[in-house]
Amino acid sequence: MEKVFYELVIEGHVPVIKGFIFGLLEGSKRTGTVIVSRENNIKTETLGEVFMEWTHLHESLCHVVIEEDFLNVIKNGLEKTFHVLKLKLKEVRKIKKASFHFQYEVYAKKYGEEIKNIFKELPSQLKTSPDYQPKEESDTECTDIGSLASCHGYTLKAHGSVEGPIDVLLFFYKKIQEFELIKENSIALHFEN
Amino acid sequence: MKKISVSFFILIFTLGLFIGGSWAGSSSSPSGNEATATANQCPVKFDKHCDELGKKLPLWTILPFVGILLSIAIFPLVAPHFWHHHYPKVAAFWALIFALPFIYFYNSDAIHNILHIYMVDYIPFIIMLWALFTIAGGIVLTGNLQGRPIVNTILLLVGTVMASWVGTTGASMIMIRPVLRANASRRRKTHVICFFIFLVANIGGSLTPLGDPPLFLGFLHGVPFFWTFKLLPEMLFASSLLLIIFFLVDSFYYQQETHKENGKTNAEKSPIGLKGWHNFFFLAGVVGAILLSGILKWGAITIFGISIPKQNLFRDFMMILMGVLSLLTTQKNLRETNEFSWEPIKEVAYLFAGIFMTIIPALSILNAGSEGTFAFLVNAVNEPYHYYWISGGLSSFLDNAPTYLIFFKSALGKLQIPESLVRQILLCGGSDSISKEFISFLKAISIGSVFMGANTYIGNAPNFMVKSIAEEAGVAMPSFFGYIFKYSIPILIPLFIVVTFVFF
Repeated sequence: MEKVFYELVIEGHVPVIKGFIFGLLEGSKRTGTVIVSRENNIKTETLGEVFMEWTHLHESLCHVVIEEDFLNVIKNGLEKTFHVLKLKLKEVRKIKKASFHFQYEVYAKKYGEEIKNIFKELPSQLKTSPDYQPKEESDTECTDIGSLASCHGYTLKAHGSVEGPIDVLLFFYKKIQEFELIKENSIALHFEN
Repeated sequence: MKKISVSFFILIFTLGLFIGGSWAGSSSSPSGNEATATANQCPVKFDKHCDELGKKLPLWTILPFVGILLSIAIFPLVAPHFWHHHYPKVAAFWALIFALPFIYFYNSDAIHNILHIYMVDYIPFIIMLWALFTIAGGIVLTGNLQGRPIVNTILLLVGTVMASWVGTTGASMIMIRPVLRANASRRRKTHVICFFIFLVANIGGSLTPLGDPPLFLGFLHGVPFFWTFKLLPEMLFASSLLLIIFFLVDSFYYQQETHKENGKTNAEKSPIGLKGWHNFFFLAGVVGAILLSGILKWGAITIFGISIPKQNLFRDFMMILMGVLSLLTTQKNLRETNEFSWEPIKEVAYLFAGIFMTIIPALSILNAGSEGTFAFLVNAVNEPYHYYWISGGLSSFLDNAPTYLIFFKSALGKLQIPESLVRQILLCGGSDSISKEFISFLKAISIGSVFMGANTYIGNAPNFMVKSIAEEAGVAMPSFFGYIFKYSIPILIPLFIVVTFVFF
């Protein structure tokens, strides 16, 4: 059964929020997934929010992704400690799925095979978008690298997106981050309603 | 076989000139090498000079030149496969579109100009590039270093120093693979290759005519071999600053790397070594031949009506000989390690054949100075920093060798100096106001053309070569505009602005 995740938007300083959540979970002997969006390249603030934060028009907002099991514990904890920590829960949103866009352009068969294998071994909970159609080309006449009229004998190009549950997607996202040739955008969260 | 035939085509063509020269009959002229004949007579006496053909040619005659330069700039980006397969036809198209009407309307004048540019500029230019490329292709830096910031900085420094002696293409070929090997296991290495392009493929080549093609063209037009050493302060300033910036940037990325990958960057180390080192003797032979051609005064022979100093023919013969000796004496596996192929030099040979044909009207018009149709340009460019930025700006998007030649001629045209006095002026070191002005212009043109060739992938021939080699080694090189916006504009342009204030 797939885990259900929520995004919490909490107003306050990020280190305090992190300390609060991890302290709470540690104290209550719970283990599970807590993802601080900013640290994991998950798209959070709109441009307007970033501007507001820069101009100190409002306190910084921390977006955290948590498992459903922690939702009530954290909500209650925030309410009970508000008078001390001043951490305010601004928003709670149920996550339907997460996705990210990527593209790659490879000019050596060795790296092309590596990248093709990564996407072949995509976890079953994740799926690529229909526009992900790797295009592999070989030009047998482009054997040597030139200077003013260079071309590559092998090219593998593709773009598309991957979507699925945030925990599995994040694991895959980190894996492909190790490959410099794959350029990935930040992760977008899709919410219910 | 096909590849070898290209190099032998150049060899045979040049030998043909020797034979043709003796058939045409040797006419030793005391003023065969006008430049050297009048050297060391300071102060220089100027006769007002103006190119007659340049006064007659309309501005639109430069369109084929613009066409071929834009083809070189645009086709690799928008249609690389078409360009790779058809560039000789494109070059021939632009050359013929100019040459046929030019010959039809100007008859013997046109033929003389065409023969002159091919025999005096193109052939020695290609021979020099071929020789350096062939010799450098036999030198292999072996070993596997760990791509730490200090190691990378030293590798770039070695490449920068080497570039002035084996050419930017040769130094790039020798150094790029050791740099890639050292950084193979690093995730973030794009910046290493971009700084490599800045330093090894461009700025490092500013000290001698061997370093960068524009400077060799300058040498062919009378600039003494050692005069380019005067660019040392600018070169040291720019390369030191770039190396410092590189060290800081690389340290930043390296720190992220080691934290993230828990020491995965520790590539297998093996000691550094140099194979094919005997090629340095051939390199010395090339340097010696070029130096001698500036010292010896053997008179000249006339080939198809073009007077060519005998010492220049000797220089070209020696350079071919050094290249051939390198080919014969270097183990094949060393060239294979360098993934040596004739492709880069073949491309330069074909495309520059077109460039040198189509550049004729531009050079003539600029040589006519304020009496030619480029008077507006000649009159608008008045200060050294104007020359620096305009030659640099154009070198960024067009090849820097023809750009250098254009502004070299423009400076001569502006000051109405005959080319035969260039050597004498530079050797005298500016004993009068016109000489001083010309020297400051020439410095600015040289620095601008060489340095700013690094601004884009198309500014200098080795840039694209380095990009392609790095891409095939798994480096995610930025796109054409990515390189400009992420690297050139934030790093190079501020540096070049500082160079303007410090030196011009």
